[in-house]
This record gives sequence, structure tokens and C-alpha cells, in this order.
Amino acid sequence: MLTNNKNTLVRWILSGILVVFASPFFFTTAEAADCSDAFYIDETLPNGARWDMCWESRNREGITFSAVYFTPKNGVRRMVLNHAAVAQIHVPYDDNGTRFHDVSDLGIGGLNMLDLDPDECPGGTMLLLTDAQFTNKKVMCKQIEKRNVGFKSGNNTEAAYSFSLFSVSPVGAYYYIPTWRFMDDGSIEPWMGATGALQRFGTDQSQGWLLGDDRVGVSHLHNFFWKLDFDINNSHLDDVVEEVNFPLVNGKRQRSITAFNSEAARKVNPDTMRHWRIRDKTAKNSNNHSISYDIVLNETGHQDIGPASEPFTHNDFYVTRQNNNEKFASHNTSGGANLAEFVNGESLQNNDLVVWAGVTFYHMPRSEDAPHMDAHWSHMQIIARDLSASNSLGNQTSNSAPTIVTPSKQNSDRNTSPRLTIQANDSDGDYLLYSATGLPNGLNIDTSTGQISGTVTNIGDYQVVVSVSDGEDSSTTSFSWKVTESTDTGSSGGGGSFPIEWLVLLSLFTIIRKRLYSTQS
Amino acid sequence: MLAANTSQARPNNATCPSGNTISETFSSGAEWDMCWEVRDEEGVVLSDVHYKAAGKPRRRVLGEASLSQIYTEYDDGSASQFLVTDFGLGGSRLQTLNADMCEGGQLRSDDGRNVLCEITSANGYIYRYRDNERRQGSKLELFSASNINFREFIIRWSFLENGTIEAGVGLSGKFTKTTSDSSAGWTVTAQNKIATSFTDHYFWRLDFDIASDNGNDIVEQIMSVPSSDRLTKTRQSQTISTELSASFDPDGKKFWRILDQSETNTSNQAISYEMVLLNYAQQNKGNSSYPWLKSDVFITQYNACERFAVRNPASACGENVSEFVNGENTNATDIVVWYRLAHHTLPRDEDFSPAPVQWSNFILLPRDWTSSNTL
Repeated sequence: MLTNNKNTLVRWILSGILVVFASPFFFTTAEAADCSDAFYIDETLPNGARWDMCWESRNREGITFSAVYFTPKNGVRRMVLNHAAVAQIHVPYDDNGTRFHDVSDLGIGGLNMLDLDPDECPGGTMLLLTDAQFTNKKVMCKQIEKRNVGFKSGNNTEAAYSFSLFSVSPVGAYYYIPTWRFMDDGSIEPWMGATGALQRFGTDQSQGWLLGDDRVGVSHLHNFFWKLDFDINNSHLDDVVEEVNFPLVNGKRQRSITAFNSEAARKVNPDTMRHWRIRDKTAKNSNNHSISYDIVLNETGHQDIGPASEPFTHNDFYVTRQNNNEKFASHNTSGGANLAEFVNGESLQNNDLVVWAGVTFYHMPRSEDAPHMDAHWSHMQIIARDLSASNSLGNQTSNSAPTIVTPSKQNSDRNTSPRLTIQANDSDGDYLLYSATGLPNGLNIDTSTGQISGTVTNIGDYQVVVSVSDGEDSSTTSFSWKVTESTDTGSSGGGGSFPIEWLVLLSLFTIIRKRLYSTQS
Repeated sequence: MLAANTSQARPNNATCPSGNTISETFSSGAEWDMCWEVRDEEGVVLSDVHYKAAGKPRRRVLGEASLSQIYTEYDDGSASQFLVTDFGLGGSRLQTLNADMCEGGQLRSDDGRNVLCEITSANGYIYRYRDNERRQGSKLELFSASNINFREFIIRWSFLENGTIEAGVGLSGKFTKTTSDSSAGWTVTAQNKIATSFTDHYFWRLDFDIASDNGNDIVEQIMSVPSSDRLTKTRQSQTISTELSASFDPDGKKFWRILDQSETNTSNQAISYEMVLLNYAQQNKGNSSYPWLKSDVFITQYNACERFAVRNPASACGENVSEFVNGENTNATDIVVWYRLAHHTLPRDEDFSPAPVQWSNFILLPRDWTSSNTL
């Protein structure tokens, strides 16, 4: 353990030095990273992927992260996010009885963040907060998560790992569980769980649901917002944000990529399967492809365009220029009042960019929500694109081609049903597909098993070419297959009545043929 | 009532072949049980799925559930494919699983091969409330995998302790298709080949059979319609009495629940399951003008020969789900819900090769199954 801590410290010092040298402007951004050991997370997952970052606790946003770095297994350590935080939980009720702005107005940090009990963090470790307010408060649970099948191609499979960090914040009757999941491929998933109990009850069933206890739970929305200050590869002035659409043009999808030159507010569009991408203008992976992140907002099925007085709900995705005063998606106290005002035409070119993204959960209460309510979860995806040059999770560095065994020369009688299974092997364990050409009429190959079967119908000499592919590489071989007139002239047709003398003669014939054939070749 | 007389229902007395039952009892006393089988086309099919809430009666949720078609469209317009009927998720394409893939779980065999992983695992908080009132929960997970032309589809069902069902497809394997059209793919690997981007439309077939009588289910459509100033919403619930095709409607928050006509919870509320359909951003309506791509949800009366959402072969039936919606009664009958979930893949360097799994999930949630939270 001591060694690990030392390593951590050394790594931290080194990374600090690297940061200073790599980016002279780094500390000029407002939310620059500078954290002590107690606020430093350095996690190398069992498969070698590594994340490191600083965290802090704020009264409003709760736990926030800064200087978030990802290092692929055997890869280069690069900054992804300079800063990441929950930016709002906006909860308007269907009866308009209240419209909460939980993060800005009430706060999910400070006294509104729980001191967790160890049983709430099974298999994980607790991160302790000591500051002016608290001493060794167990505010955050870190858990390593394993998924048995991280990728799979037949038996070519590896587990995938991530680690999650969560805290729990009661706000009124609600208990929010902001969770950040850091994946081994460099992707990040911010999640939000909402549990506790229903906050409001009414009398009008048309604005809620009659519960088993005869109360009417009022229906409501949770608009969750995250603020993501990307500084890919440290340099905070050379990121670009693009919108990617796949419009349908004459029966084909024609991908279009449009860079935002000035601040923008945008919505998802299922018809064009829109997503957004943050790309570093200079950094490339070893394939010479720009390293970037996709922002995918799949969980927009409950998307809600609110009233004119809440213009920050009118879009799903915003990109703005970094401004220290812009903290909350709504009810922002200094600077603009909300996201719609943050987007005010400022140029994004060669500036520090901030992405704001939101998803919505519409909650119509049900009887199961009382006396306490099971968690419902929402999330968005921040997916690494071309950060690594290849899948870095497995042990193999390149694909191995499958090998194929050349079958011996085949002989069949017409109207018989021979079976031959092509033998192939793949050292990666990949799923293999077989194909064959030149088979005697009536025979087919099972593309999954490599078994050739059927009933031969035409006499002749056939040259068969069989191939096996693992999807990337293939092997091919050939052999001959001779179909002769049936030697069984009897009427039974069954193998049982086949005279033994004929079999002996036939096998002798085959041996002679084989010798002839091998001397020829 | 001619419609009622002619209505069909899944046989209510289906028996599960021995060795094919799956059941899990959680520490709270909540239970799930079901039957599984393998078909050449759909692969693993679940049937007679029952949930027993803690301390409450065991009741059926689903009569049968399957992935009834995967329709793949390539962005470059090259030939699309119907994977379930053209290739099949079962047969030799259904993958043999090994112990590593099912660590902590139990492999189940079909026809001598281990093809299904059954695994029970911790699932974090069920709820957290004040005064340290809290509970951690578990889930039962089942998955199989099918490889079609090097792409691998992991079909997973999760049955949570609190009655929630999560189902989804995880896409992995190898994306082998390349194109010369740079706007229809993404440049990947050191060779700078253009991997073709594509959309998979997953069509789920969910034959709800709520409680003991499978012929008396009712579909309710629930909307919350915003006022003109968008400050309030008004709930509008209506029974769907004839077959329906419908699309996502975020503005109206439209969803459906399937309820039993007679059985209730202890507060005399109809017991039901609702569909929580959140995946919306890629829910495109296809590259072609096929009617079965134009809607997201289809609600039909059970018909034994309506098996595949598209390329349904039976001559007595429609060819696809848009034809299954032909005016039949859906009020107090055996209800089948067809749900189309679209997932677009733009390959990236990290996908080569094989590609890390990308999941496309949906949720079925009990609504008034019990009169209060039982955990």
C-alpha cells in the first residue's frame, strides 16, 4: 500500500510538471487543477486503462471534477476534461405548483450531501472529505465494475472495466445519486439516480396519479444538466465542437460535419441521428486521426420544451465559451441567468469551449413510489472517438489470420450424401465464416460450421476452393472431389447391403488413385 | 361481439420442457420465474415470465418475449438485411459461451451446447431515503450471443428485484463492411479504410399476458398534454380498443401500459406494466419508405402466425407488423406489443477489432402491480 501511495504521489508530481510544461496557459483557466492527495483519484483498472483526476466538494454542485486525464493501456496520458459538474436539476411539476432548481437554489453539496454508511458502498472504497466544514466525511463511493463481456467475436472476448464515483444528496424528499462512470475505452457516462420519496401530492388526478394510499402524486419532470469543460490534450484553445448529422439523400445517408464558429444551442434530431463531437485540432492518434469525443444524448424520449420563461429547456445541447460566472444551466446568479443567455454569439474559434448537455426523465408517480420510491436513472454518453488507434482492451495487438487444413482428395458415388467438415483454427478465437466454390452439384457448405453436406447429383472431377475468414484475414485452400457413377447397382440403396468385397475393392482403388494423384502433384 | 369471438390468445396451458425453467428468489422474498427455449430464427425466446413481489402473489407478466427481427441498413445504400429471418439468431450462429463470459453465473445448455448465461448480481440502491431507510438490490440477468457475418449481438434480459425488466441488445464483433463513399462511413485503422456506418432496427415482440387470464388485457395510452403557455400538463388516458401503430411523442409524453381487466392490487387498482421508452436520438424512420419503419410501437391482438415483425412468412398473416395492425379488437384480449428500437453505429478506431459492446435498452416497469413499495 505504501508503495502504491508513493507511486501515486510521484505520478501526481510528474503529471503536475507535465501539465505546467505542456500548457503554459493551463493555470490561467479559472478552474485549473491543483489538488492535494486527499482530492486526487488515480485509478488503474485491472486491464491497464487508467484515469486520474482531482475532485472537490462545492455547496451547490456537490462533487465536481477537474483535470480529468485518461491513459489507454500502453497509451499516452491525455487530458479530457478540465472541469465537469452537475449544472442543474430542474423539476417543474405538472400543476405548476412549483418549479424547483435544485442545484442552484438548494444545492446538492455541503450539508445536503450524505455521510455515507459503508454498507452503501459494497465492494468499494469511500472517499473522505475534510475541509473547513467537515472532517473525514464519507461523501463519495468508488467502485470498480466488471462486465464479463466487454467485447466479443466468438471466443475472442475480454472483460471490460469501469469505475464509478457516486455521492448521495437529499433535496427535500428526493435523494439524488450523481454518478460518474469512467470506462476503460476512455468514455465517460454521467448518470443521475433519483430516489427518496415523492415530494408533492395534490388532489387533481389529471395532473398526477392516484396512489394506492389514496393520495395523488403530482407528475413532474427532472431536467438534468451537466457542464463539461473539455480541454482535450490539455491545450484549451484548440478544441472545436462539431455537429454530426446523417441526412437521408436518395436512399443513402450522407454524413455532414459542421463546426460551430460561435456559441450555439441545439436539439437532438432522430431523422438525422444527430450527435456532437469535440475534437482537438492538432492531437492525433497513431493512425493520424483526430482524437475526439462524441456527445450522445440517446435518452431524450422524455425531452421537454418548457415555457417561454424557461428557454434553457428549449434545447438539449449547448456550446459556450468558458466563463467562470456561468455555473448553472438556470438560476445562474452572476453573469447570464441561464443557458439561453450564455449563448450570446461569442466566437468559439481558438477559445476555451464548454459543452452543456441535458436529458429529461418524466415521472408520473405510481403506487410503488410510496412510502418510499425506488431510484430511476438517467444518463448521457461521452464516447471516445479515435482517442486510441485500436481497441486497446484486449491482449492481442494485431489480428492473427485463421489457418485452414487442406482436406484429402474426396471421392463420392453419385446419389450418395457425403459429409466433410473443413477444419480451421484461429489463435485469437475469432468467430469464423466458411465459404466454398466449385463444390460438386448438390453439395453446400454450412458457413458457420464448415460442414459440407448434401447429395451429389452429377459425376465429374471437381476442384473445390474453400476459404475461412475471421472478418479481417482469411485463408484459402483447394482439393479435388471426384464423383463417379454409383458402384452399388443393387436396388436396396442402403449401406447395410453393400457387399464387403466392393468396399475392399473401392478402398484399394482409392489408395491407388491417391498415390497417382500425389505423384502427379 | 364478433371481434371477441374470433380473438386469439396464446395457449394458456403451455408447459416448459424439463430443464428449461429459470427461477430466482431474492433475499427480500421477491421472485422471478420463466421458461426459455431456442429457435433457429429468434434465438433465445422467453415465455411465461412471472414476477412475485415480496409478500405478494406470483403473477404472470409476459406470455412470450423475443427479438423478432433485426433490420440492418447501411449508410451507403448497399443491400439491407433481415438478420432474424435471413440468417437466424439460433442454430449454428448462436454462440457457445464459456465460463469466463459467465463468471459468477451459471451456463445453461441447449442441444448440448452452453448458449445462455444466467447470472444474479448486486444492482446497487433500490432506494435511499431519510433516517437511513435504504435498501440495496439484486437482479437476475440472462444473455445469449449470436454472430452474424462477424457482427455479434448479445441479447440480454435483466429482471430486477423490484419488478423492473430491462431488455436490450449489445452490439460487438467485427464491423467488416467498407465503402468507397467517405460520407457513408468513417476512416479507421492504420490502413485508412472507410468502415461503413449502419443502422440496426431492433424489433421486439412482447406478448403481454398479465395475470392468470391471458385473454383479458387492456392497453391504456397515457399522455400529458402541455397547456398553451406550457406551464402545466393535463393527463389524458384512453383505452386503445383497436390495433394501433404509433410514434414517439416527447411533447405529449405518450406512453402505454398493459393492464389486466380483472386482477387488482390490494387497493383495488388494476395491475399493469408500462413501457419506458427513452432511446430517442437515433430513432430514425429508415432509409426507405417501408411502413414498418414509420412507427415506433405497434399494438396488435395476438395471432399465432404473426411472429416476425418483418418478413413474416405465414400466408395467413400479414408480411410485416404494419399489416398486423388491421383493425382488430385490442380491448380485453391477448395483447402483443411490437417495439422498434433504432441504433446507429458510426465506427471508430476503438472498434477495430472487435468492437466494445454498445447497448440499446428499454425498460418495462410495473405500475400499481402492488399498492405500495414492497421492499
